Amino acid sequence: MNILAPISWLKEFCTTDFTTAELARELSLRSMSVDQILTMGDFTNMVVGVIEEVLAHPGADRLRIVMVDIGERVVQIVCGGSNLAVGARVAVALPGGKVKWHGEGEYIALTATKIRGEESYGMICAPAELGLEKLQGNEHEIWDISNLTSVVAGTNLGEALGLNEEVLEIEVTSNRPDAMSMLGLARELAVVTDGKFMGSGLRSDILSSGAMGEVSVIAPAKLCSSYYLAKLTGIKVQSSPWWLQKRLLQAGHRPINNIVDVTNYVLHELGQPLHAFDAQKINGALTVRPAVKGETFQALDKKTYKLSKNNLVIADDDGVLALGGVMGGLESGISDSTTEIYLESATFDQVNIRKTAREHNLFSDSQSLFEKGLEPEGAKAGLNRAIKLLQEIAGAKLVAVQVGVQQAEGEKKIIPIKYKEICKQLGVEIAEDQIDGYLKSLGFVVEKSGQQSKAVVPYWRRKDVTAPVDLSEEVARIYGYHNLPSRLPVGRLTGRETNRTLVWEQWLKEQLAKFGLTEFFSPSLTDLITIEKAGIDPKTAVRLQNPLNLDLEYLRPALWPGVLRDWENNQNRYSEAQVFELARTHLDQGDDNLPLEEMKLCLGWMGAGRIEQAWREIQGVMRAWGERAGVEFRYGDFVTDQSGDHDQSVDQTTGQQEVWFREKNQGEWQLAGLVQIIDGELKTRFGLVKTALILEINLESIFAVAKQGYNYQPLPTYPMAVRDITVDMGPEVVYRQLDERIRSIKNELLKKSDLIDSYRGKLRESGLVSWTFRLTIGADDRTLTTEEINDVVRVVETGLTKV
Amino acid sequence: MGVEALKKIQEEALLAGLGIMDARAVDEWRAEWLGRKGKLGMALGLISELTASERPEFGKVGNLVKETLEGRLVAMMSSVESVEGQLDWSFPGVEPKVGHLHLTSQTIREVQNIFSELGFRRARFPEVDWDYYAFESLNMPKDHPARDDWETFFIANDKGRIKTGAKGKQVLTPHTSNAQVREMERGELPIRLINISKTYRRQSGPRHLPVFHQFEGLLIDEGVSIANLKGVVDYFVKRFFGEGVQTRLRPHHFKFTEPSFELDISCVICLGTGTVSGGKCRICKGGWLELGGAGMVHPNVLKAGGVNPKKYSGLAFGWGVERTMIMRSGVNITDIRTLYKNDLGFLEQF
Repeated sequence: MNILAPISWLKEFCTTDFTTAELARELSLRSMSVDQILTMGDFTNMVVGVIEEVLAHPGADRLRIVMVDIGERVVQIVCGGSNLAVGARVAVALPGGKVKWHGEGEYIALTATKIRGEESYGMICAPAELGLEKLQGNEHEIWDISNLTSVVAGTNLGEALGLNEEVLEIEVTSNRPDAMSMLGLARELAVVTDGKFMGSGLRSDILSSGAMGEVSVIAPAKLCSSYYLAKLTGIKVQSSPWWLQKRLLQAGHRPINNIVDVTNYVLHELGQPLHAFDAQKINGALTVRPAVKGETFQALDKKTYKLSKNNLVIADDDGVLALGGVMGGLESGISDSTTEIYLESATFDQVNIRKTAREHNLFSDSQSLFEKGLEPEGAKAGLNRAIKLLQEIAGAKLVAVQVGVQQAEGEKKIIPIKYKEICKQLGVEIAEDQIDGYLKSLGFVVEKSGQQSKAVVPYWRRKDVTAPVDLSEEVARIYGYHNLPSRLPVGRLTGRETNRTLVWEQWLKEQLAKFGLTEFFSPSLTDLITIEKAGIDPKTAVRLQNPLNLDLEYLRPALWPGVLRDWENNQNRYSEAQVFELARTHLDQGDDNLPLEEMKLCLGWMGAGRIEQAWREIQGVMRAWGERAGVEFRYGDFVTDQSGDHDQSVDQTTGQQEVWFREKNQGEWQLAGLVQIIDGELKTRFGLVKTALILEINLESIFAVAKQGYNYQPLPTYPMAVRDITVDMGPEVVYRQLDERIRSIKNELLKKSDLIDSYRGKLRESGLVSWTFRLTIGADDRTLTTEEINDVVRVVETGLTKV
Repeated sequence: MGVEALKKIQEEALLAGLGIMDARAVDEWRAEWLGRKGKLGMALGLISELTASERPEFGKVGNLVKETLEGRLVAMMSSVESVEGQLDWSFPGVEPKVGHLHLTSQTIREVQNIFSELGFRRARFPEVDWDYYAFESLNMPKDHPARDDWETFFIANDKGRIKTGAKGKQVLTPHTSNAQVREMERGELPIRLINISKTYRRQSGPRHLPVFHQFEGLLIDEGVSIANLKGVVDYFVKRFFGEGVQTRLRPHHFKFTEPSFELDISCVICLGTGTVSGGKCRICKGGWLELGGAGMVHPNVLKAGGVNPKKYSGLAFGWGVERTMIMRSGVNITDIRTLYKNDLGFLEQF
């Protein structure tokens, strides 16, 4: 939570001679992060002016010509304000001064100008134009500051109103509700700047007590650990004095009236939420009790809430007056006619407040503080401070203070101080009394009995400091993390091996990049439409219960739809690309199991001109990395009987082939995934202009058997011969058939055979396709004769052409 | 075959002939392509393998190719005579086909390598995990407000409610810390672990992605101190950002570490001064950039993992991969969503 802390307010509770920049630095290094040092605005070239004359503007009905005394002289300013009055003190921005036009946007510097033909030297400002939107009442009114200051005309506006001072914006972590107030921050400030903390003198005894009607608290003590109610009369509701309004503005609050302002002031100053009821609207005695199921109540936000028995309320004979610790009711709220109030200062349970707030979706500053966990001891000090302020600024007279729940004797939390442990945890030797000193400065009481030392936790840290390790944190941060040494750990290395799949994942990505492919990397969330477009059953996919939006509702069950979608965005600017994505997909495995997470590879030849060429290249890539990983791939339908002669039919029509893998030369073939031509309907569905070729396989089992390693073959001692042969085949013949025919030739002189080309152009009147193979022929023990070579060629030729 | 092969030979020959400047190279080219045992000659010889009807066409094309190449040879020879030894050095180069690893993959690789120098091993952990590992075992009991900070995604069952099992609700892990107790449960000590994984948070905007990556380090051993945490982060920061970069720890709060820190590094743009050419540096705060969180593993977390907090202590840190990545100069990507749009113009820059 970010807290705005005006420097002067902090310094009411802590003396220090550090400059603002210095103390901001110390706070950030040892306590809470100072996010920014702010001021309320730039008030150079802005002065207090006094209106001398208000004249009609000859060229515009709604505008006036105002003569303003700005100290050194009187200037003419054209102004449209509806509340201009002779003698009034106003906020004048002179040329060069920066204002927000109509209270919006950036600050813009003014220049002397003419408005509808009349000279205007600057501007008479409304609060919004100065960045003080919270003070803007009627939008046509300028800011009449006559009651706020009595300085002479010409005084700098910032000085006159005390707006020039710095405000720290501090990030207070949620475990430190004690530091979400000026008092708490001042305490930290005193420690980190070696300053003097002056907050201990706050009065925490009850100022007065007496009968004024009962307050009964019928609720488990856990839900409400302290409850005080003060009755004050003689109240005159009006605007707060400027110094209070200004502090509230600096703290980010909106000034409303003196009563409400005081409660907000004390909330910010001491971190104690308060609530004021209009006493004349209360009928009978006040009760603090659980709500009855179904009881309704209209809150200050004007909405009506239906309560449950989990909610703690403050009620009178007529019904619910306030939702305890969360929000007051509309009816009993402070109005201009209020003359008597009940002022409540209490401590409500953090868990109950949190549940209640979420149950009704009702939030407030008080609720947010209670949720962090406040201690009952703070209630009295808060009440006393508010009473004093109300006496000062609202004419209030204290009648009585009723105790609803006496602040429970807070459990004394005692933690042993283990000096050696602390030093060990920090990694540096710190003397015992230095450690004691740090703890004492933070409000801990150090008790020594013999060899043992104990720290008594101050009440405001009770929830946060509960174990010796928490003491270590206090000591370490005040010592200064930046002062600790920096040492690499010395110890045994772990015996754990890096996960195999991760090693191969990295390796494969690098291989594919080496082959010239570009890696696509996309978010793993997708939408229902894409899943359906891909023909995948959404019930198999993992769905989010609270997605951000419907575009990101599912974890992707496959990679290729996303690859196609991303290509769609590229295809207007790039004619073709070879891409890959290597990532995990998820599939639902029922309620009792986590989803199945598997690593997949998707290869995509996008904008493929000739599918056949793309297919050859994809196969080439698969073979290239497969070789180096000790696996081999094959494509096509396999019949369950894998004895040798396969492919009953190689299906040309679905544009889809299965991808099979196995460890090189051994083991069973396993299905790895599919290759798919993205054409026709699929192409349209995914908005592609050109055909694409996609391969997607599951890497889990492949990586499980992958093996890096070489298989060195000594170079042949005797030369090899290379011969090309060309055969003509009918157009229905596919490569696999020829490949198998060659494989079935068991001739040990035939070392290798590679397809060089296959030509099926129109030039061939015969309609036949010619296939050229390059044969590598040789022997291990001798140089072959031309005859022997030719024999092999003939054998291959015969083997190929026999039907 | 046939005609196609001839055309291919012509193409290759002409390509090979580019840039030939000296007489010897010209001669070698002539021998390779037009010589008696040259490629064109060999190809023409294969006319015998064609059918009768194909031969005329083949012969015609063959002659054309021969003429073209012979013409080229004459041109080369004459240019050699006139610009002997002069090569246009200003002629631009031709890049080989280069593939591209995504910037995130490169960063993950680099991070992993740096930590492996310190003996950290990377392991794999689920992206969808039980509430127990993501929160409860990390000292965040059910209903604790600390969980609100994490803006968690939940998994739906087929009734539209949150999937729940023995270990709590199923969540998309909002941080890589779900690795901590899982790793401790393996029962092997010491632990030097790196987890780099996708993480998910209900957030969106130019500086926040709902799906991003974090890297998490966990070291559990006897006598691990805050000084050691500083040592490890200093090592990483200097290796990743450069020797001159400083680190700074500030107090912070996480439920699963005590003490908890926020780690800053000195700004790489203004070099830690806070000013750039007289004006305030727009990237950093007073010369410092926030990198991420860190802390000493909370004793409750050690206990949840079955590790004795009296004997062992641990350090942990978790930082955003994307965030860390774009903090390096030269990679100042202002809208983080650009990273994963997969525009080739972006991908090909890395």
